[in-house]
Amino acid sequence: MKPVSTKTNLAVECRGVTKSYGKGDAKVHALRGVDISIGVGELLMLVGPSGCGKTTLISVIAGILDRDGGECRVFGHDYMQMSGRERTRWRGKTIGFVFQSFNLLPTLSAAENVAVPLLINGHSRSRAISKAKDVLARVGLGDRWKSLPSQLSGGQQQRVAIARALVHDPKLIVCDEPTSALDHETGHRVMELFREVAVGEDRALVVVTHDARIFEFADRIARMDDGHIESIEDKKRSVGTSSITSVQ
Amino acid sequence: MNLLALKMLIGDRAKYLGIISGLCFASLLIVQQMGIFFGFLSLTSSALARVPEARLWVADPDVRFIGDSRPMLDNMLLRVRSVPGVAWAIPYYNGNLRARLPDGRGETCSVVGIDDASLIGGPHPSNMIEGTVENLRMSDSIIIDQRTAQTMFAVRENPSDPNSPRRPIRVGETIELNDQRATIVGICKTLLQLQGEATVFTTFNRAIKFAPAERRRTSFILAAPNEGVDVRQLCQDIKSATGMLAMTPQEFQDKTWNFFVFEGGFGVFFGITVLFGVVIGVGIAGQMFYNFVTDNLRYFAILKAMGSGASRLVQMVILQATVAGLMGWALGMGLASGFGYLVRDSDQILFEIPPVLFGGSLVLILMISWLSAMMSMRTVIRLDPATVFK
Ligand SMILES: Nc1ncnc2c1ncn2[C@@H]1O[C@H](COP(=O)(O)OP(=O)(O)OP(=O)(O)O)[C@@H](O)[C@H]1O
Ligand SMILES: [Mg+2]
Repeated sequence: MKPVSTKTNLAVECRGVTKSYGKGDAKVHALRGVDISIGVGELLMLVGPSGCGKTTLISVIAGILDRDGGECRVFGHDYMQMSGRERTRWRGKTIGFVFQSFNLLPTLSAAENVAVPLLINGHSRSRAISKAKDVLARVGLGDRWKSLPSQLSGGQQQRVAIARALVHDPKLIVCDEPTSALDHETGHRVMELFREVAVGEDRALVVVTHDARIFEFADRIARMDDGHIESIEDKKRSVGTSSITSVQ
Repeated sequence: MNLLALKMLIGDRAKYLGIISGLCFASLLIVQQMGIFFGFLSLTSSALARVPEARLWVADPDVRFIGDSRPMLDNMLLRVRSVPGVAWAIPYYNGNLRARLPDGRGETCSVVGIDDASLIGGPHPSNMIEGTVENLRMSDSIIIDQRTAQTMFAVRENPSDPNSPRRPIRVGETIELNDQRATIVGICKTLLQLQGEATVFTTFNRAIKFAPAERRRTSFILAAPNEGVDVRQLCQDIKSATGMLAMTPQEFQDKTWNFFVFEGGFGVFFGITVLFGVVIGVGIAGQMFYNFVTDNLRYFAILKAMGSGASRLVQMVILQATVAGLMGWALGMGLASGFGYLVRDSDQILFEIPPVLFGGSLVLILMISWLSAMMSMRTVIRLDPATVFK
C-alpha cells in the first residue's frame, strides 16, 4: 500500500464520493459527490440538516462503509484497495471513534474500556491497562479508572470515550455528535478537552455536530446539504470575521 | 480480549444466569437419568460381582442375561471339569422359589445355591452381619441378606392379625422353601439386585433339593483356568467340548447390558431422556445465548469498527459459550451428585456416575453450548460495523 497522494499534509482527501442505500424506488442517495480535504493537525466540523449525509460521510472516511464511487484517500490509503482483513487492522491502528451515546461496554471498568483499542492491537493486558490509566488521568478521570460506565455521569462517560479514542494514538479521530447527549456546559467542557488533548500536529479530527454552540472549537466548518458539501468556513485564517468558501 | 469477552458475559448477570441454568438443567437431567441408567445396568449384573473368583461362566447357549436362568443337565459340570486347562469348576444355582414364613405368609425369593465344598459364590466374610458363611455346612441352613430379613421376610408380631406390626426375622428361625425346612444361620449384606427381591443363600445340593424336581438344575457353572491358560482360549475349548456358552464375567456383563439396553427397551427409554435433555439445553441456553449476543451486538459492532476482525469476535463468542458450558455442566453435575448422595441408601435406586458419564456429559454439554453459540454466530460474522453510528 504505497501512498498515492503526494501531499503528505492531507489526512483525508475525497473527490466526488457517492453513496446510496437501498435499491429501485427505495434508493436513497446519501452522498451525491462529496469533495473534501482535511489537513493533518486540523479539527473539521461537519454540520448540516438531518439526513444530509454527515454520518454516511464519516463512515466512509473511517472505513466502516464502502463508497459507491469517487475517490477517497485517508493518509494516502484507499480502502477499496485493501482486503477486508487489512482494512480492519488498519482501522484499528489509525482511527479513533467517539459516539453520541458514548458506547462504552457496560460491564467493563473505565480503564478496561479505554484499554480496548490497545488490546485489539495486540498489546498485553497489563501494558494496555497502565496506558489506559495514564490517558484517563489526562482527561481528568485518573481516580475513576475502576468505575463502571453506569457509575459515571454523561460528561464523565464521554471523557472516558475520548480517552478510548486517543489511547492508541490514532491519526484520525471521527466523532458523531459527541456533545448532543450532554448539557451545554458539559458539552463545552468536553470540547475544550478535545482541543486540549486530541488535536495534535500529526492528527486530524472530524466532528459531526448539530450544536452551533461548539462551532468555536472548529478550525474549519463544512456545511452539508442533501449529499453535498455546500460551503466550507475557515475559522483559523481570519480571526473575528471568518471566511466562507462556497463549494461549486 | 479474552478476559474482556468473559466480563462481557458474566457482567450481564441476568442473561448469564439464564444461560447457565439452561445448561445446568440439561446437564442435571442427562447426568441424573444416565446415573440411574448406569446404576440400573450394574444392578442387572450384580450377580457377577458377587463371585469375583469366577474367571469364566458356563451357561446355556440361549441365555440372554444373568437372570435368564436356563438350567443345564447336572452332568455338564463333569464335562466342563474334563476340558483340559480347567483348574476348577463348580455348580451355581439361581432360581426363584416360594418361601413360607413363620407367620404363615408366602413370599417369593431368589435362591442362590453355591458350591457345597468351596462355598465360592456366597457372601464375602466381610459382608456377614450375623453368623459365618461356614454355617451353611449345617443341615437345612440358609443365609439371608439384611434387606430380606428386615422387609420381605419380616414376620408379624401377631400371626393371626394381618395388620399387626412386623419385626425382622432372626437367626435361628425356620422358614419353609417349597415345603421343606430351612433354618436361618446367618445374615449378610449384598449388592442390590435388579428386582430387589428377597435373597437366600444356600449350598448347591440343598438348593436343588428345595427346587422342584427337574432334570436340568445347574443354572451356571463357574470355573477358572489353570495358570498360564488363556481364558478366552479356554472359553472356546469349553464351547467346542460341551456345546455350552462359556464367557468371561466381562463378556457376560456385556451380554446382559446389551440385552437390557437393546432388547429390554431401556436404551430407547434413556436415549429419549438424553435427547430431551439436549433439546431442552439447546432450546433454553441457545435462546438465551442468542439474546445475549443480539443484546451485545452493538458492542460487537463497536469492537469490529475499532479493528477486531470477525474471527476475533467468533473466538470471543466461542469462549463465552465454552465458559457458560463448563459452568452449567459443573452445576448440573453437582446437583446430580447431590441427588446420588440423597439416594445412596435407597433400596429402589442405584445411582452411579462412571467416568464415561462424567466425560460424556461434559462433551455433550459443551456441544450444546457450542451449538447455541453457532445459532448466533452468523449475526456476529455478518455484523456491519457501519451500524455503530446509528
Ligand atoms: N442504512 C441505511 N439504509 C437506508 N437509508 C439510510 C441508511 N443510513 C442512512 N440512510 C439515509 O441516508 C441519508 C443520509 O443519512 P445520514 O445518517 O448520513 O444522515 P445524517 O446527516 O447523519 O443525519 P442526522 O443528522 O439525522 O444524523 C438519510 O436520508 C438516511 O435516511
Ligand atoms: Mg447522523
